[in-house]
Amino acid sequence: MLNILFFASLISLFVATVVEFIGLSFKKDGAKKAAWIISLISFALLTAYMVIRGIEAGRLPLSNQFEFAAGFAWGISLLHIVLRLWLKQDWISAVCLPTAFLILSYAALLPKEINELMPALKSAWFGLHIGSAVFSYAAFAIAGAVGIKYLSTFKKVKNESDERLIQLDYIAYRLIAFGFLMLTVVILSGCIWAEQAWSSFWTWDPKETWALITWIIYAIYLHQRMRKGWRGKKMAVFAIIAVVCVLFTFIGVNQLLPGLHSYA
Amino acid sequence: MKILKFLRSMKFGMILLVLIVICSLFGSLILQNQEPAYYEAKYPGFGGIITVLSLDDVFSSWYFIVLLILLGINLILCSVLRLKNNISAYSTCFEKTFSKECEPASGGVRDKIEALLKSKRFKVTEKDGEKVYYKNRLGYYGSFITHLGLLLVLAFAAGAMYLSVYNDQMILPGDSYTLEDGTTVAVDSFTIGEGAMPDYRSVLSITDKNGKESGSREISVNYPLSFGGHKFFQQSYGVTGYLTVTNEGESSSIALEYGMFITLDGTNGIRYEALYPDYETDEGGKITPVNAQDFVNPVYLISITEGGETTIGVVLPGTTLSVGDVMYTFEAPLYYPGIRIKTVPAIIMGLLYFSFGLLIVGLYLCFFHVPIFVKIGKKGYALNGPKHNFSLENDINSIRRV
Ligand code: HEM
Repeated sequence: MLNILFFASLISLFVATVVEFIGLSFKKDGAKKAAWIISLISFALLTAYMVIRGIEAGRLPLSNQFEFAAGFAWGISLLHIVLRLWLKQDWISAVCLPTAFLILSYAALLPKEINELMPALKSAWFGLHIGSAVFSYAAFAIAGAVGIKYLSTFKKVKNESDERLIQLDYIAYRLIAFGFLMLTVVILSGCIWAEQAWSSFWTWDPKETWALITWIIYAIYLHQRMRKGWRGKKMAVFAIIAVVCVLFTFIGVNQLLPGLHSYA
Repeated sequence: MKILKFLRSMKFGMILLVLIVICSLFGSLILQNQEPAYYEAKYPGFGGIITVLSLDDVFSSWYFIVLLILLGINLILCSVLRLKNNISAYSTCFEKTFSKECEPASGGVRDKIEALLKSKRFKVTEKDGEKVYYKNRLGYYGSFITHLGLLLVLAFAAGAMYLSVYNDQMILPGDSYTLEDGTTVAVDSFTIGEGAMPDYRSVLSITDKNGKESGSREISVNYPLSFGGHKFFQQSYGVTGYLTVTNEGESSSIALEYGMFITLDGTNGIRYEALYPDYETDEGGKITPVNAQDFVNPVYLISITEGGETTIGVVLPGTTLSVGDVMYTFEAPLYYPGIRIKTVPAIIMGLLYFSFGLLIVGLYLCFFHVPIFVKIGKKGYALNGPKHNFSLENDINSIRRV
């Protein structure tokens, strides 16, 4: 039953993505509207899935790689809805839907059974730590996708002072600012939690180190933007490369580098 | 002068950040704190270089510490010197906005803009019949607070790491341990929960150096206990053999240590060799101890010395042996907690967490509390502020277009 909800969400997200691109390629507003509605359904399904899973497990459903990946995709879908309602522009969907679909497909590949929580994860700080991570990663991922959109639009208009490009650049910047604030919350709440659970707030384990690396990379992004007035193409490329770093922190560290965090 | 200028420049700051990232890459990709032989085996030909460059312990190497100190200096120089700019930006913001050239706009449009600003809860100030609507003035201090927060995080984190003293003790249930300052920790009980991911819980009673008692308090992972200036963590656990010795109707129990010889007369007795977690039985019923993760079928390996002869053997928990007139009963193995006692001045942790808060508040101010000013002049309007506010600009543009 639970799995049906998950796959229904995944499939509807796929359909929404395909319909969105059909709408884009053939300039059909009807298709774009349909994609938007299907994506809302997909979000509702995923939300229902996460809630039911949480109730069944009796805890926050964000405690292993699968649940976190699903949460990550959920965060992207939520930001997609918020951005779209706020900016009232439909290119947001073309950027967010494939991103959410990629992450949710990754989740689909992971084992889905509900495991008992290890005692170290039973903490109030855990909710804050992992909840802010969902939003931080989601914002960074969308910023990276906006970067790709920037580059493809740039190919067409070939002029950095084009209104559309300026807006894309600005939105990527705002997303990164939000993601940066959230990542700071992730790291600092993680420190407080680690002090409670393991007695020291920082141990340079690979997950911590990579979160710090990611944090510094985005700090450099924010400063270069201000210091050098870097905008446009450079920043789009930067935002795309930085997402690789986010994904390594999220996936690569668990697979490749051993450490205290390796259960996550 | 030139050097000072460089030291406090943002460029230098960014260079430092890049260098810190590079060190962190090495520190996370190369497994830290291993023996030199490990590196020689894993990276043939580079083992020596890794050790010489401290790549086996990057985060406590001299150059990494120097980088962090330079970052601290850079932050002091750039944020302290920036404070003046922030204060002046804060205090001249109205003046600057009033003196801005206006975009021409009709009275109707100006009224609509004012209505919009009021609905967005802008505050207003007036001068010579002109108005400035404003919001989020405190945002000017965002970057100062952010950098100050970061600087204090660095300083207090270093302080907390330097001043923390860790003391790990294995304490048997019923026993106690006394710290140097006279604080005594007694372990009243230790339990391991059920299931695949069991909880480890110790009940402690602590008496601080002034004789103040904590009463019975439980600790487990995520729930340490702070008392008497120390913090007590449920850190690990161990298991040991446990033996009851009965002689002439009197018994006493002892936790066994490897190699311990238990005797009353000095010659006859039992030597405790080991406790194995599991065993196998062959067809003849002979028991062979084996190693395993969990103590599923614990078995004692002992040697018995009686009448000048020594024999080695295995016994299961619950067995009673008599050697001479003395009875030895092997009990179920005893589980005991590893307690970590951390001592660090509470004030420094308080300050560290306070600076965490500053950093978050500073970032919030930087990005989500950006100062914005709108002048409503006699013939038009003007926007001012340290950053673009696209959503307000869009709203105003759509008012103008109507
Ligand atoms: C990882 C460390 C750092 C973090 C997290 C950080 C964070 C920030 C943030 C969030 C802003 C505001 C950006 C914006 O409003 O768009 C900022 C501005 C600034 N940062 Fe940093 N910073 C760091 C290190 C440094 C260093 C080492 C310097 C060295 C000089 C520096 C110099 C500045 C300056 C000069 C500004 C502009 C301040 C202003 O006029 O508003 N930062 N920083």
